[in-house]
Amino acid sequence: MPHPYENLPSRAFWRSAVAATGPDGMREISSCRAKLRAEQVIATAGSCFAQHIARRLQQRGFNYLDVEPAPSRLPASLHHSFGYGLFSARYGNVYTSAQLLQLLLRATGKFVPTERVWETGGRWFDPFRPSIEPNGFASEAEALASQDSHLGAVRRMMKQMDMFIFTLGLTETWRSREDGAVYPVCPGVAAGRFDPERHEFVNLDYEAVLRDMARAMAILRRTRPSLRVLLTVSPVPLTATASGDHVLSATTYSKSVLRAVAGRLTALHDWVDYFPSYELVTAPVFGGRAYEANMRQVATTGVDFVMGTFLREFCEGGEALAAPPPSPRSVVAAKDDDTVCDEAALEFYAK
Amino acid sequence: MTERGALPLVMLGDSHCTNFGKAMKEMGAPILGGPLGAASAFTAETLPVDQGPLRLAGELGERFRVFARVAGITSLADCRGRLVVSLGLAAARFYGSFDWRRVATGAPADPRKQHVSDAVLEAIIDAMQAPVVAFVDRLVAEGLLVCSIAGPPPQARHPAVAALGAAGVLALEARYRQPMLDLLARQGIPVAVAPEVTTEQGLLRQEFWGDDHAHGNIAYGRQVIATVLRITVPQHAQT
Repeated sequence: MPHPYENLPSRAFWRSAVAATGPDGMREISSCRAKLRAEQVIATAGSCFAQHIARRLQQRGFNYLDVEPAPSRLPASLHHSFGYGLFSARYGNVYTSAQLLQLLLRATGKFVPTERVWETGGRWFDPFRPSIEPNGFASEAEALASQDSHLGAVRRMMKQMDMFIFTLGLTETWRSREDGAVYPVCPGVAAGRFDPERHEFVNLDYEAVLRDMARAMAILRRTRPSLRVLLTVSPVPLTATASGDHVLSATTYSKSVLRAVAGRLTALHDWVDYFPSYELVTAPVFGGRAYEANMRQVATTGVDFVMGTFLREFCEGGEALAAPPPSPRSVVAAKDDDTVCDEAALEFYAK
Repeated sequence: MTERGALPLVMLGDSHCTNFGKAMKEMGAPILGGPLGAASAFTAETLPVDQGPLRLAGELGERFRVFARVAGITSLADCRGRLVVSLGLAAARFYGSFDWRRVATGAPADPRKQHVSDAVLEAIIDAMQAPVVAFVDRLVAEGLLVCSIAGPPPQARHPAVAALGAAGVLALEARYRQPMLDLLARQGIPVAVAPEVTTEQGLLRQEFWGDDHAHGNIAYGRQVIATVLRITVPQHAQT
């Protein structure tokens, strides 16, 4: 009787799938269960790397859902500064599983945070998307009006989307001690005031991320039973860690947990897929060459490589859609489009 | 109403100048010129305010050549002390650009509609107005401008009025016009506002409505031109 490895395809073996092909020749990198079709309504959310996915899908003419589009007369150069066009709704970066769950709970009226607005310097900020109005709102009432409208838009998105692409970014977050509300950015960094009596640091573990994601996906599937979910993990390392660990170790912890949870959810549900954007940038075979000089931001050519693979392997007609995938080997320090990472504000405080 | 030997006024500006121009011909008013293009044509590209002679560029530059022949001038510099503009004070293009059935501003707002913040509105106004304000500022600095014409008030039939009410649209109109009005006030340039053309609510009276919900008709144009002449002739005669 043959042993289990005897009849495996070449993609199962490092020598044939990686060493022999080199980074440019690798194929069937992902195990896609259902390819994206052009007519499917696609929505995205996640950390800043997810902005690349949103942008490329729109560029390629996919049926990309934007429930909060920019007003027609707002110059395109200002869209991203005001949080338009980054994702399917104007929620800004959703870095953590806890943040995603909270967004869906708020949108469905199951959670109303105690701290709904922050006042800073006479302007009013949304604690859960502090970057979407660079100078804040004119009044508390306006901030709340925008919030209500936004949550209504998220509800519409939940009802309309056929495919939800979520990029898991971090495990570290800041949480309200009072009601457990989580913030995308530590209070006091972009807006608000940090108060150790009211705010606490949390580094989510595997169980917590799995629990959050399972609840979030259950909410989504209750609203849209035929929904498919595509998970990715951002290859962008942490800007800063509050864990006490070195930022390198903290990054490895975060990404390992997120990757493991994505794998678990894919194993549990046949309507969940995983796309290895994390591996396509960080794997040793790519030699770190997909990154910019700071070894954190992913260069345009790195994004091209990841998205070329995505289009080829996850989309119907993918070979035609995928531009010739440039190898990260040839990466020069090219600037990508203005990906908005409010987490990057933390870098300002680096000594 | 004649200039008593002085050169005639030259009027240029957006599409509202079409009926102003027809009115001034009907009235035999000592004003030459007319529209250069729709308000959307007045952009940073067509209104360069760099160093060098003041000029219009792109499609406005092309149209200016025809305009100049009609107005009997060779360049904008020939309009010293006698230029009247209709620029940056007609707001229908701004408040008419939103689909108010699905967009809301201010607070509280209808949560079923997409909220557009005050700051986003300001950014839009700035983007629409900045090139025009800079251009008019340069017209003033060159000693050309003697008067600016206010755009027609909103019409009751405009969809924005149905959605926001007269007060809502008038508030948006005021915000849109403010950057230009601030400049004109700072520079002491009078604004010609046609008298007795509005309802109690501040909307354009129906007998002054033009062919669409943005423009006034020739009767409105006559009111405007009469106001321009009243404002400018004494001042113009002294130049």
